[in-house]
Parts: sequence; structure tokens; C-alpha cells
Amino acid sequence: MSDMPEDPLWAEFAPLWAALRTIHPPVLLAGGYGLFLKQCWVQERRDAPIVVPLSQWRIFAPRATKDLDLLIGVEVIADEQQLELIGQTLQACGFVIHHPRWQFIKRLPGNRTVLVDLHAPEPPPDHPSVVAVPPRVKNMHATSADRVHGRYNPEAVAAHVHPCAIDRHGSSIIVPNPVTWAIMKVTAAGERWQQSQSSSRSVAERDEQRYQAIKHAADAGRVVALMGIGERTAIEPVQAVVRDTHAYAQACRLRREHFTGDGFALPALREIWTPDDAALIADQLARWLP
Amino acid sequence: MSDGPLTERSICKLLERRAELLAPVRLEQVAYHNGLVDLAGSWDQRRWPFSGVVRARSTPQQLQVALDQVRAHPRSHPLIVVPYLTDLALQHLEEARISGIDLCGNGILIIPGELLVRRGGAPNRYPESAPIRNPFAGRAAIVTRRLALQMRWDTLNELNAALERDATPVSLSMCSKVVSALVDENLVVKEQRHIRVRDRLGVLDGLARHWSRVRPRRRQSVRLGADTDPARLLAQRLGNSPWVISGASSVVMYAAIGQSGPLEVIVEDIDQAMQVSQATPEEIPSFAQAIFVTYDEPGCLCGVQPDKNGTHWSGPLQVWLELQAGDARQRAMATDLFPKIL
Repeated sequence: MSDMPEDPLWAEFAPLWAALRTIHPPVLLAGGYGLFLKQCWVQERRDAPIVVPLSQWRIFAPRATKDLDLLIGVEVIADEQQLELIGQTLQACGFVIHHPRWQFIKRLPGNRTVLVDLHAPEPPPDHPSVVAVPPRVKNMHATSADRVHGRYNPEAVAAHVHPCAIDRHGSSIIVPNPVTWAIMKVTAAGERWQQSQSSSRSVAERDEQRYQAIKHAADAGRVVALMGIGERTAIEPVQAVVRDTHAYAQACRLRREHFTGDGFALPALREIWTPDDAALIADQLARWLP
Repeated sequence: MSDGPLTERSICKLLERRAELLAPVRLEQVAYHNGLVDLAGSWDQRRWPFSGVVRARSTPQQLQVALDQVRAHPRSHPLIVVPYLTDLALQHLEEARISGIDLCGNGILIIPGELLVRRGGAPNRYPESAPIRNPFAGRAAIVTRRLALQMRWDTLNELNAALERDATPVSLSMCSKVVSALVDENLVVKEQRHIRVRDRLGVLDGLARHWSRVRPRRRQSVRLGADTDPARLLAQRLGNSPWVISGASSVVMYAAIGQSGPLEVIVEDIDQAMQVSQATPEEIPSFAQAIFVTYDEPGCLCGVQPDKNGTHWSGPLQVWLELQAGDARQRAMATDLFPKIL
């Protein structure tokens, strides 16, 4: 096992995260960077068991990313003051609007960029102030110039149920519960795979979609493999919350289609883990997303 | 292959029919008298006399007897003749600078400053029916392990009784065969009724070379329902029933190392052990507190060393055997542990 790779994103992430810690319910860090930080945290806590110990991973290096995927709750979008604080914090940290009000970009020396995506789950249909207008979730009454929207992400369902706090360089980082995270990753993998099969796309586009599908499938595996024993208690309560949602049903269908038999995802798991461990991961996914 | 059991005389008769002492050295003369043999070999117009000792068996012990004999009565160039010489035996002869040949085409001829011929690898055409096939494996290993732990026994009965006390009973006849096999290997000597291990390192080396954990009959990862020390919980719940924490999991008892992961616990009956220990199955192995295993291997529950809490740890010999067959880190720990078993 090698040491953890460098983390150039931390310098951009840490001040932003510190400034957002007053947001309630808390902002969650998901996506590839969330998984990266969780893997770092797991590596530092060598005696705390996870589903597949890092010593058994064939490919230990986490994948590189330049995106920060932040999840904000519907309650945050309902609160104009909090929306304004998020917008002002992003600006103060050097991020500017890239995709109106839910994606922000920071340009760094050397042609490097960092993207922040603000994801939000589907609001209840009868919510008095928050509506989903894909691709965004927004507060229809907010007028502040600094307000932000959320990127419509129904797969983020129940993300704030039993989130997991991890420690990195003394900061408490909050990531989603493993079931919600798996719903997001399995859905992303399945949708990308479907696009990679589209004959209306160019070969290069199909290759890119296929690459992204495999990347998300591997991330779904990481969500399972990195789960600690304490997080397991979250599975049933989260399943109870998401059971009747469209996002959950769709993730279950995509899991059955791609993470079993000849599905594209199993070879992606076997790249990173031994066949036995890949089978254990697939089995756990099947329990979470039957 | 000879028709009957080989004798020293029949070995000499077979030698008389050979054209070569050890290719390319030609055999010129064979003369046998009272277990000693005079031979002559020639090559490239030179001729060398050899004075040899013939033994009808090829065991390490018989080889040692032959070596002692030729050393005790130095005549012309010393040489031993046995039915078969292993590569290891050839190596010993080379180190002793004594010539030796067998009936299978292997051998070494050493005349300092004049001749060195070595041939090995020919298969054994004269396998012996040993009292026991392998004293280091299976049920026989239980006896050999006991001998590795205690080097002197007044009688075979005393050894047999000790195995009974250890709850690893082995028949007296099996004990006798194992001791005989170890005598043949030149690792143990029998002096009247006494049994003495003469080469403890050799016994340990034999056990190590032949030790391998067989595939378990069944494995079951379990949680014990409380987050306290699982070894202590098992001691409380399994009590004096037959169980032992495997050697690899017992290493914490003998070395100052940190160990994580579930304890591997060898039991006789997994279902019964689960019931008595109030364990529940754990589908994720790394979340298990213990892994119950059962083996068909004889003696897999022997060598228990209970601590003051009643936890059944494996003894240092078992720990060493498992570690020396493990990965690089475990082999390094085995090296550190070795002095503890001596």
C-alpha cells in the first residue's frame, strides 16, 4: 500500500468548508472528492474495520477529481439567508457562477480550474417555497442577488438521514449515508452507460460516456468498500425513508441490470478488488438496492 | 530393482556388475569382506583405490553410521555405498569430503587435488518401506510435536501418557512407529528404553517443512454481541469445551505487536460453538469479531495454552509453525519467536 497521494484540492476546499459550517442542516460533501477524503480518513484509522480492508485493495490510489459535489438540503433552499450566505461564501473563496446559480468555478494558475456543484434533492410537491424546475431546485420567493440554487438531483434522497462525519486535518467533514451515496453513484453509472450505447453519439462521445460509467461504478464499489461498521446501522432507516421513491426504484433497477451477471460494472469492481471482495461488494449493493 | 530386501552383500553383487563406479570413472575392482568393501576406479589412465563401508539402508541415520565408520577406520580414500543418495545426502558427503555412491547412478567421488565427480537427481529405484510414511504430517506429527517440546523421555509409555494428558491420544503402536521413523531420520536416538531428541532443530525443520493448514471443513464469521475483548468473551462462554485460538491469531500472546481483525477460533462443532457463545453470523468478514473454523486435520485442537482468564491460546510451537508458513511479515515474526520455543 502506498501513502496517500497529494491532495491539491484541499487548499480550495478547506476555507470554503469552514465558512459553510454554520449552514443547517449541514452541507454534505459527496462525489469523488468525498470518497477521496473518506479513504484518507479510513487509512488513518487502521484499526477501524471497513467492508473491504484497504490492505486488500488491488488498486489503492483514489481517482483524481477537480470537482466538489456539495449537497444542500431543501430546508437550506427554503431559507433565503442561508442561500445568500452560501453565495457570498463562494464568491469570497474566489468562485464565480458557471452554470446559473448551481455550478461555480474557480480559475487557478496553470489553467487549472475547480468546479463546485451544489446538489439538492427533490423537494416535496407541496413545499411552500421550494420547487424543482429541472435542472434546478430553487426558492421561488428568494430575490437576493447572491442567492444560489441547487442542481436537481433526486438521487440525493435522504442524504441527511444518518450522515457520517469524518475527520480530515482537524476539520469535521460530513458525507452522505452509504445508501444515498450508492443510489447516486449507481444511477450515474447506469445513465452514463445508457448514453455510451447511443448510436446517435460519436465514437469519442460514447467512449467518454463509457469511461464515466465505469468510473461511477467503481465509485459505487468504493461507497460499499469504505463503509465502517457504525455506518451499517444507517442502512435500514435510510431504506425505510427512500423505499417508495422513484430514485430508489430506478437505482435498484440499474443495480440489477449492471451489477450482476454480464453487467458492465462487475469487471470494473474486479479491477480494484479481488474477485471475492468484488463479489462481497456486489452482494452488499444488492442488499441495499434489491 | 532387486527381488528381495537389499543386504550389504547383495549390494556388492550389484556393484560387481557395473562398468562404472560413477560415470565417467570406470569400476576396476570390487572386493567385499565383513561390511567393508575395497574398490578401484580409473579414468584418463589414472587409478584410485577406495575403501568403503556398505549399508543396506539409505536413511540419514544409516548414512551417519557409515560416515562415522569410515572416519573411525581411515584406510585409502574413504567411500560409502548405500542404495540411494538424496541431494541432501550428497551435500553432506561433499561437506564431509567423503566419497559416496548409490545403486541408482547418484554419487560423489572426492580425492582432494585430483578428482571431483558429482552426479545427482537419478530417481530412487530402491524405496524402503518405512515404519511410517511421514513422521511430520498427519497424526504422526502430534507425536513429533510433543518430542519437539520435551527432548527426553524415560519410556515410550511416558510419551504416550503425556499425549493422553494433552487430550491428543495416539496409540502406543503409532508412537513407536513415529519414534522409529525419527531414529531413521537421525533426529532421535533410542538408548535402551530411553528416547532422546538429538537434533531438535532438525525436528522443528521437518515440522515446518511439512506444515500447511489444510482447507477448513467449514468457516463462519460471527459477532459475539458485545464490543468487549472477544478472546475474554469466548473464554467466559465456551469455557473448557474443545476450542483454541489459531496460531496466527495467538501471536499477540508471544510478541509485542498490534493485531486487528477477527480472531480465528478452531472448534469441533461450529453450530454448537455458536449456540454456546451466543454468536450471530456476520456476512461481512472484516466486521466479524471471530471466525469459527473446523478442520478435519488430526490434532488441530492440541497444544492449548490457557491464560488466567481461561482463553485457549495456541502454544508457541503452533504459532511459530503458522507464522513461518505465512507472508513476509509473519515470517519475520516467526524468526523473532523462534528462541521462545527452544
